[in-house]
Amino acid sequence: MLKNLIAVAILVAAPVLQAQVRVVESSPQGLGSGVAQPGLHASAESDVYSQIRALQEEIAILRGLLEEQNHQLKQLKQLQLDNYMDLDRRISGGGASVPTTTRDEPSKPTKPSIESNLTIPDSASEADVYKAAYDLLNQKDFDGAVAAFKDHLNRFPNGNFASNSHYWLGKVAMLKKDYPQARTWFTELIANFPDAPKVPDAQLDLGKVYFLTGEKAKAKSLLTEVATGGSDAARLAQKFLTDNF
Amino acid sequence: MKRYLLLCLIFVAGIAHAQLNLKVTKGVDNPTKIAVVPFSWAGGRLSEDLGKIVGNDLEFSGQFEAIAADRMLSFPRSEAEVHYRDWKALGSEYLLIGSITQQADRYYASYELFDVVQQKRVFAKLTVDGTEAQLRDMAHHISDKVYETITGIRGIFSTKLIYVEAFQKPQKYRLMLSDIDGFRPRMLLETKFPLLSPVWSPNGQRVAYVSFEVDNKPAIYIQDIATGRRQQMTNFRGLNGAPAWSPDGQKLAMALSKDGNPEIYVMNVLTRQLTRITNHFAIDHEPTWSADGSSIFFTSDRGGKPQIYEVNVASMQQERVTFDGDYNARPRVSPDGKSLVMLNKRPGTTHHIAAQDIKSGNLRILSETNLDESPTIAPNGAMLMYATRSGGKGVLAAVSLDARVKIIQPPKQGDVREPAWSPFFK
Repeated sequence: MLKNLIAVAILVAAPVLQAQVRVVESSPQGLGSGVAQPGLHASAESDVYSQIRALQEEIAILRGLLEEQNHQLKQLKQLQLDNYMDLDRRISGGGASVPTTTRDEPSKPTKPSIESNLTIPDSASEADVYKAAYDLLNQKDFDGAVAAFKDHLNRFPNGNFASNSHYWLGKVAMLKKDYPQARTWFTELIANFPDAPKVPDAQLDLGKVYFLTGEKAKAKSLLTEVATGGSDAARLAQKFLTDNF
Repeated sequence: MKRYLLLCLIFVAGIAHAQLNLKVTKGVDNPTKIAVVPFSWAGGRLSEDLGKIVGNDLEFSGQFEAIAADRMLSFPRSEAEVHYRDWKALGSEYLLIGSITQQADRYYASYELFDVVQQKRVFAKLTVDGTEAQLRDMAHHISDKVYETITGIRGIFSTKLIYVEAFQKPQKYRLMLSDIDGFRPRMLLETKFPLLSPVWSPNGQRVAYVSFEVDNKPAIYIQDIATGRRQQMTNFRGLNGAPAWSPDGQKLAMALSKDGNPEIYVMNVLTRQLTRITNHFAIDHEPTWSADGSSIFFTSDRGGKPQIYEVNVASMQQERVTFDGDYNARPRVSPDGKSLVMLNKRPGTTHHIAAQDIKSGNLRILSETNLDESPTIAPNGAMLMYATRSGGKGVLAAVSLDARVKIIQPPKQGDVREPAWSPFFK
């Protein structure tokens, strides 16, 4: 009885597949034994048939392997992309703003955080405003960028990107050799956003501003502080100390 | 985050026409407690206890725990009689009160829901009416309203279930229709030969199924549920299996072996025009439509093992979608189109019901019973029901889409299998 139940259960689900295979396989055997003396012709036919069957099975197995490898390849590609994005986020979040390169071509600040914030409707517009300003910076439209970053800060004084805007305003002021202005932006950033990822970068640049405006003692102490930290800016601070002190 | 909803509902096939018995054996870790006060009623004996049905319904979702009437300190009939303190003492978070009145042969059930924690009325008095035969419908309607108000998810208590009941000695098969809680079973068809794969039309008015009643060969039928009128849709040589309605209800996808080996076809229900979708020497079977009807998922062993593939109906482009496990079959798409529910088997285990996120491909095993099969998803996408075996009998179990299931009680007689959850009505 249990057997019967299982048999019916098998009927119910996918294994109609198996039932079908069995039908196909049994027919050539039936043909073969039905002929009184299985002649050469019949056996040749059944040979061809079984060879086709074998080939089909082989193809199916190969196809399965190919599909699986294709899938794995896709997964690996995605993984690689994810890893890259992660790395990119960490580098830019920690302070990819290597000063020398930033001067010409600012590196991307915390790009993934822009993306993640896009999902929140309220801050989405903030991300857009910030991104627009950042694009201007990328295009080396410094005056436009300064206006746009200031606009961003006016509209979102405590926004997710407020610390970044401070930083870039400070950087542009440095570029224009407006050191007092640069100093104000960096100091504000450090005071108002102590947990922001841009803080070590701001400290590094503030140290440089101190150096450039002749306050060497202050510069040295601040840069030493940055150099002993674990940030990406630490190495640059150390280099600056070695080169200039 | 690890707040898995654990629930298990059990249907047990009783004697011949007895209804399925349902028992929740495992609900959520921390179900919402609700007190459903027995509905007040001035008349004599009423054929149904509405308050009890509502309580059972809510428990059936696995998300609620109904407080037993014998623990209640009072039986308020109006807001003025509600003392929140009494209900707080029982740990109840919500309170439902109701009353039934009768005018001629119509019954009127009024009900109000209160939030015990915030000590306020959730919604003003609502009324639903019907005949005596519709008392259960009225109760299910109230359950839907309460469930949706509290959870924000549309309730499924007014939906129906179609399933196949199989008997031995003498062998017979019955296509059965019942409320989703197993009550009010009604026989739609009885034959001596197997009945398979019942599926509801998207408008909930018809059922398509496979019957072996003519010469013990499979054929696909469409039957009008209300009138019992039916038509035979296919009579091809070989396999005629696994009908699946397109979301617009105009087409039936099916598996036919008329051209040699099983392939997926689509038939226009009105014109019966047939379109061949797959053409492969492997076996293509068990088609099911994507939520938007743009593609069909089906099982194929073209890769050496049964796996689920997706074919775009317009471009006919095919792609394998399952890679986890050495067996994936019987696909079903959730109403939101985001999850694929299937029969999954990993090496060294038996078949389980699993759900795969279509976009990410992540697979989660939902059931831990043995020989699970025939998953069917509730129209609100929150639960699914499936057939499994317990004590050598076929029984039905249900599980929420983010959950696990355990204990199953065996039926007394007959096997219950191939559940099909109706769409929402209206």
